[in-house]
Amino acid sequence: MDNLVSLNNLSKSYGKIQALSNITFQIPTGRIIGLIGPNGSGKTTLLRAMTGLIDYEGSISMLGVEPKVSRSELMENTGVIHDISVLPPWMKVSQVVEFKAGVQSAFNYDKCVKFLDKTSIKMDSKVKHLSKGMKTQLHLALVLATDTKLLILDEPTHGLDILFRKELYSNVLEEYFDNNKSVIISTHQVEEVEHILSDVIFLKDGYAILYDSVENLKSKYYQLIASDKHIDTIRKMNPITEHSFFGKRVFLLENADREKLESMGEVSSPSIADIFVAIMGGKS
Amino acid sequence: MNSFLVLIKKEWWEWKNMILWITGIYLFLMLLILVPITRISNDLNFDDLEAGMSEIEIDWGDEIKNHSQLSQLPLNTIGSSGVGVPIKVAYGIGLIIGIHFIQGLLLFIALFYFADSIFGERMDSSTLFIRSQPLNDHSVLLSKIVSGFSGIILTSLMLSVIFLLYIKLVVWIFGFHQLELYEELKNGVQVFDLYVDMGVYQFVTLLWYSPFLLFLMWVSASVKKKPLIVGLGSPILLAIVLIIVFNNSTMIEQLFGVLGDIKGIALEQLLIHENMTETVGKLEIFDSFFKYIFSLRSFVSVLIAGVFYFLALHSYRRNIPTS
Repeated sequence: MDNLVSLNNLSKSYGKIQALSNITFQIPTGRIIGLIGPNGSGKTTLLRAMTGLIDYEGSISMLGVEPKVSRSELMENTGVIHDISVLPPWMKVSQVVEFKAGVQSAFNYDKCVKFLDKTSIKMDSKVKHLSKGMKTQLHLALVLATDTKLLILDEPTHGLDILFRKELYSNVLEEYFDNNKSVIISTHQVEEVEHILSDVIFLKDGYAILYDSVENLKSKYYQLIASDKHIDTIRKMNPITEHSFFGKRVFLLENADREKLESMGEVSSPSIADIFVAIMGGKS
Repeated sequence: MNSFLVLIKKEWWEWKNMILWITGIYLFLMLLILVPITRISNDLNFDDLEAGMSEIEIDWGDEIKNHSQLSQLPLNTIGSSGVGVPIKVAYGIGLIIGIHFIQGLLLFIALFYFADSIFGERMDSSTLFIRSQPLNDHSVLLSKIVSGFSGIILTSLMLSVIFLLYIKLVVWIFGFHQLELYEELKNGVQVFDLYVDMGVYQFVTLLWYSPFLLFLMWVSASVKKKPLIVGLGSPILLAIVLIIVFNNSTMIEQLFGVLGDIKGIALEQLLIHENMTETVGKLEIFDSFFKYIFSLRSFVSVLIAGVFYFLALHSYRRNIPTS
């Protein structure tokens, strides 16, 4: 499988602050990657480096090009939605669409207008008069109407209500994603994206502390609601986390024998959010 | 459409309201001046004007002294009414004042435009949107420079049209249109030539001012706030320091000298023409376009502007939003 993205020892510092440290990973085609980390973990810095917006150390290959050298070429095949509203506020919606059509050959004007017709956005409205949700819808219409190989979403649902969030991700799945494309979604709200992810990268303090497929994670980690009589035994197995839930002890264990665990209580696959919380709380 | 043209179109979308506002304000000010003009016209007596001609003293600056003395001009050289020269002088002065007013106004807009050119996009974060498109950084910056220069030249031409129409209105209010001379003036004005001259005039001004404008663009790409104050303040401050500490006025002359030079060129071209025996309309403010455009000053200006362009490009690539 071809790698759309390849990072090798990527580092970035702002003065004495090390924002990213020796990050290395590859992203093949047909994957939806969740870039997950708490605020300040380096997600936006990483995505800005990957899109050539900032300088960095190490090497990055995005769709076969080095972003800081060939950003324009990269953007021909990459769609980006940033964590903040970036559409020019003085522009009319029709002007934004016309501008996009003028600068990007892979943009499908009719598809964009069709998408916007489903929303309450009017073509003669100014961007600054749109609600935050509408701005995101407009930006999404622009990127979904562009035939790119890679879509990068940096905290796309930041500040949106639950309806817009659900709609956004279902649109990405239905209108954009196929096996020849990949999507990178940066978020700190794991629970809202975990159902669509194929892989996750956990970032903490500028380090990529985990990169694995969701499938592997689900088979590697177990959540155990333990019977009282087995609690001491389980504690000796070095669980990653332990907490109380409706009077019962709940453990998260890594690489444990499932059959053995089943004899000690109720075993289930933890959510990515649970794994994220467990790992972020401990690993460094 | 070529993406460079789309970028220029984007600049037009952004700044067209500003151009319309400026035109509106300019028109309003001109019409406001009509009030005292109308009052003066009621008291005007052509005989008094002719008799008082010998008493007219106008400070033309050093330029004119090298070419001719206005007081030596015969009153009745042109025009059967005998008031040809004063009218032509008034016409010429009017043109120069009008041109300089437009010049000053547009210079202010140029400063404002270039100081905001990148800063505005950084402040509202739309620079991230622009840089997420398949657009070359050079295209983005050059489109702003080309838009700024051509926008200013076109606006100046538009304001000049208003100005000429305004002059016609003033001529009509004063009653000059009843004179034979008016026909001569009217037929003498080569409107197309005049506008070509105006365009070239603005172009040379911008060319000579380009180091400063590109410096403003660099500031616009670099500072976190108040680009106009920083962009205007820092060179003025440096110029003052140079004067006080080193008694060197080169910098201040470079900053403000262009306007004076342009005025000199205009006066020279306006007044040396056969001792005002030609009608004003046949004047060519720039009878030698290439003389100015291929001067050492133009070459040095482009060179310095080029340095500031690459500094602006460097800052543009480094600085994302201001927040």
